[in-house]
Amino acid sequence: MARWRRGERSKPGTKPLRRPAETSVKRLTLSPPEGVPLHLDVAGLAARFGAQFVDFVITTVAMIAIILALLFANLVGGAAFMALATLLALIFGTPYYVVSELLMNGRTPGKKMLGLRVVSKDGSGLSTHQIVVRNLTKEVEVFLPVAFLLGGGEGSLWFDGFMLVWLLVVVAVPIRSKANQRIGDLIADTAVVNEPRPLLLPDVAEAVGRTARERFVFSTAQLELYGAYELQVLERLLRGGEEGRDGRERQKGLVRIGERIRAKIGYEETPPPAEEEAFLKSFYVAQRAFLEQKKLMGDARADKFHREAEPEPEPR
Amino acid sequence: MSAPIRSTRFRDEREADWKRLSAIVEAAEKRGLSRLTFDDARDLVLLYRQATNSLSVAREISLDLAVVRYLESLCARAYLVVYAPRESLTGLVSRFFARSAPQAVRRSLPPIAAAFVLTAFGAVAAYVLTSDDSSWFYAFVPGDLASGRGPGASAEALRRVIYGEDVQPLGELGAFATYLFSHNTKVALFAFALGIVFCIPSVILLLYNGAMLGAFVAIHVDKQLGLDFMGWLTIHGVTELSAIIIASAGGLSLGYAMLFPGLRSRAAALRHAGRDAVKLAVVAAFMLVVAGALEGIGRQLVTDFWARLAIGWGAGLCWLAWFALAGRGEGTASAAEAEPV
Repeated sequence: MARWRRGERSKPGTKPLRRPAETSVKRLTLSPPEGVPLHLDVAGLAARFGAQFVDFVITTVAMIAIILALLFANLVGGAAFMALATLLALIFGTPYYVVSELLMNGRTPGKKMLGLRVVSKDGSGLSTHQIVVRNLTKEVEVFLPVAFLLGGGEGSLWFDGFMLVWLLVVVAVPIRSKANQRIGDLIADTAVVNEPRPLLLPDVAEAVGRTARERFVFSTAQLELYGAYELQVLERLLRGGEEGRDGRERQKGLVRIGERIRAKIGYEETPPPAEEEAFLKSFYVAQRAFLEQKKLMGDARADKFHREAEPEPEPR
Repeated sequence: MSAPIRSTRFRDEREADWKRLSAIVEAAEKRGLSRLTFDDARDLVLLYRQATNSLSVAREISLDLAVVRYLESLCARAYLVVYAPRESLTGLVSRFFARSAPQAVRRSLPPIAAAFVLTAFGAVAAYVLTSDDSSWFYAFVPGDLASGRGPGASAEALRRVIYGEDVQPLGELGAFATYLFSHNTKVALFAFALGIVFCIPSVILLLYNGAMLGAFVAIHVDKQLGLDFMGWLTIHGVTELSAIIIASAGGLSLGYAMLFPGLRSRAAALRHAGRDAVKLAVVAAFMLVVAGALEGIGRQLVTDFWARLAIGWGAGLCWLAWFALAGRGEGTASAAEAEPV
């Protein structure tokens, strides 16, 4: 709403307003062999930290459970028990991450829980080499600093200072990186992304009745004014209320928007509030059909400022 | 204008296929690719290609944000399933040991040689210094590692450690356990991982590790126990020192790629060097576990000098044979680039 209004307020002749960025999420573009680039959301640092934490908890709990089971079963003596415990600690380190990412296609149980996933940045499938690399470096990048923080240093100033610097480096690299890659990711050329969740929303254009479309008719001049961006804002607005919650408020909002649009395009008739949604929807359909037609002919209009971006067209 | 607009028709025509792909992908994610039904498995790739096709068309013709976004995440999801790693664990492991690991070691001969020379240099230097002035020993060996052994220790005490007369309180397996987290594993790990900082930490660690070895040898030679110490050390030391050298060689090649990336960018050079370096690290980890078993079990059970020597160098020969002979004659150069591990 706010964005819509801000766009509205700009006077013709002023410099085109820069639209606020859609989201602040970092995006990653993969080029699969099919040649159609895919855009994925890069996983946030907090989510990755959470996944790592969950994995820590899982491995620790599993380790303790096995050790307790061994203790209760009383199968092994003291010395062998120690050996088994260390072996377990080894197995639930790097090998756990490597094997789970291999078998679960780039996910550890923690990542799965938080909806994260490792992908290869070059667009081919995730290779074993990449998985091994990113988890081997985890040993020095994650486990070592954590052990250092939990254990509280070894007493020697030289070593502690070095570990602190290393800790800073380890934290700074993913923050600075374009795709939140940690050092292991950089070496392996991988990135962690949010699991894409396909959700097909109904087509707004579909829901418009034929009668409504015949009732509200728009001329070409009226459809020339807006671009794809405004169209999609309108789409979001029309979709936003479909849950039917807070019907009154929505109705009022729609009326306000309808008024603005009618003022801008110079539409004479004012439909009753009950018909406002039908009006907006048929405007949406007409506008979309118009813009898609234009786009097909090579005249893609990103937003309503499209005219100012190029030299003034000849008056028709 | 009564017909639905073009992008709506586009969507109506293809929606059923998209839904089907979505269902197949869902099933593959949940139960695994191998449990798909025949029809689903056959159609998965076809439907995926169609969906990417739809996506690229939709980006061009459709202004319906919902469709473009849906297709985008559907294609991404299907892409992840279609291009999933599909190798069995056993196949991976056997190929690693049969071919790719020894090939990587052979390719990395120069850094391994460099690491060996550095260790040897450190050892010789420390040996010379310590035999000259035994207080140098304390400069090279941290207190907890020396465990009572030092220039001041009597020959009797040193002999006891070597021939295991004061048996470890934890027993053989306990010794193995404590070993795994012991000093040398740490050295190997650091030498590999920190090599990336322009080789410097790896070089320092190699020199230092060699120096420690040299200092130990010096105090034992001083007490006329040189040969006995060699026997004590060889049984696991051959394997263990080789592991450290191999791990550091991995670190060195990473650092070298950072220092001299050549025509590549630093990141690309690092990635390229990483292919072999990682294999070296895995080999080193495997060797360290074997060394742990040798140290924990072998060293306490086998106290005869010649048996120790035989086991130690025998293991060394086995490693050498593995590195030198395994995986030859299978198009080494071309296969190296294509192999994932």
